Amino acid sequence: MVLGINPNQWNQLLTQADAGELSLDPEVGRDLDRVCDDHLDRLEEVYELVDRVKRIDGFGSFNSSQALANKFSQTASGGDRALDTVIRQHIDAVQTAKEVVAKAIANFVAQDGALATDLSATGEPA
Amino acid sequence: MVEMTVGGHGWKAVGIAALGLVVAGCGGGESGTAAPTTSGVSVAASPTSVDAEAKVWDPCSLPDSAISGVGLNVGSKKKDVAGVDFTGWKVCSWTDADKKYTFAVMASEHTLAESRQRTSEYTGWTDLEVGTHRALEFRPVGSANDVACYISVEVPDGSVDFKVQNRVSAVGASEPCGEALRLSTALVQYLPAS
Repeated sequence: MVLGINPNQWNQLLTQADAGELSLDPEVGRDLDRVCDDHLDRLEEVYELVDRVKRIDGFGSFNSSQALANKFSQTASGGDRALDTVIRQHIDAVQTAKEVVAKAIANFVAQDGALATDLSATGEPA
Repeated sequence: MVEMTVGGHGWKAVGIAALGLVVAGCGGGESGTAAPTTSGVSVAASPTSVDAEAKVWDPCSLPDSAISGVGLNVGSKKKDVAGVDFTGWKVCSWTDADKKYTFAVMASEHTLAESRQRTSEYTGWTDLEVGTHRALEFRPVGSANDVACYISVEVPDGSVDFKVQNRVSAVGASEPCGEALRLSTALVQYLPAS
């Protein structure tokens, strides 16, 4: 199972969007943004729950801490693959995705406006 | 447009992976609940069998009027931790009206001294008084250090944790320890008297 996420993928898209290379129909964009928000809600909830479970488990009365540790914490050496860290990376990625969507919508609207200006300039006799 | 579609698929896969984590995490919690820890009597799932937890105060008993009075969303009330009733604990949580943070209240028979021993997991230890109760403030070590804060308040049969965790994506959220202190101070009157 892939746990990690490469934030560079969305950062690259953001760079492209900032450069005007991506555009998105506002209607589609709004739906995407809603999906992003829903996903963000779930990730934020899980992120908080993980911290709570750690608090409860850490007193040593439960064996689930052991199970969680075996499943997640020890999947790689170092702290960058710990469950909370990975979920936080996912949250950051979705936030970047929302920025990409917003910028791509703005690009579409700007292009649309520019096109309309061009058309009226061509279509209407001076 | 083509790039957006490719990116969208990648991101969808990420979502599924994250959900996978949730399911696996809950499974771990449930097996923890099933393990008998204090007595031979199993009281794991039923909220009405309170033998092992009779002395533990129930945060879900906080009146709705008090919850809305401190700026929390009454409708967001959730019992337990992701549907898991951990033996020895009573847990209730809410989000604030602006959905900038989660407020969890977690009661158990663990003492402040026991909490204070967990120095590898928590940091920023500060002794406080909340109402007439002794209390201890601390933050988790690790990635949630900047967004989460606990204030553990002593009660006769253990302690009650008041925890505030800001949403990572929240803009202009309050400092979590300050908010936890504000909420615990406002709600301390409902705790068992010390």
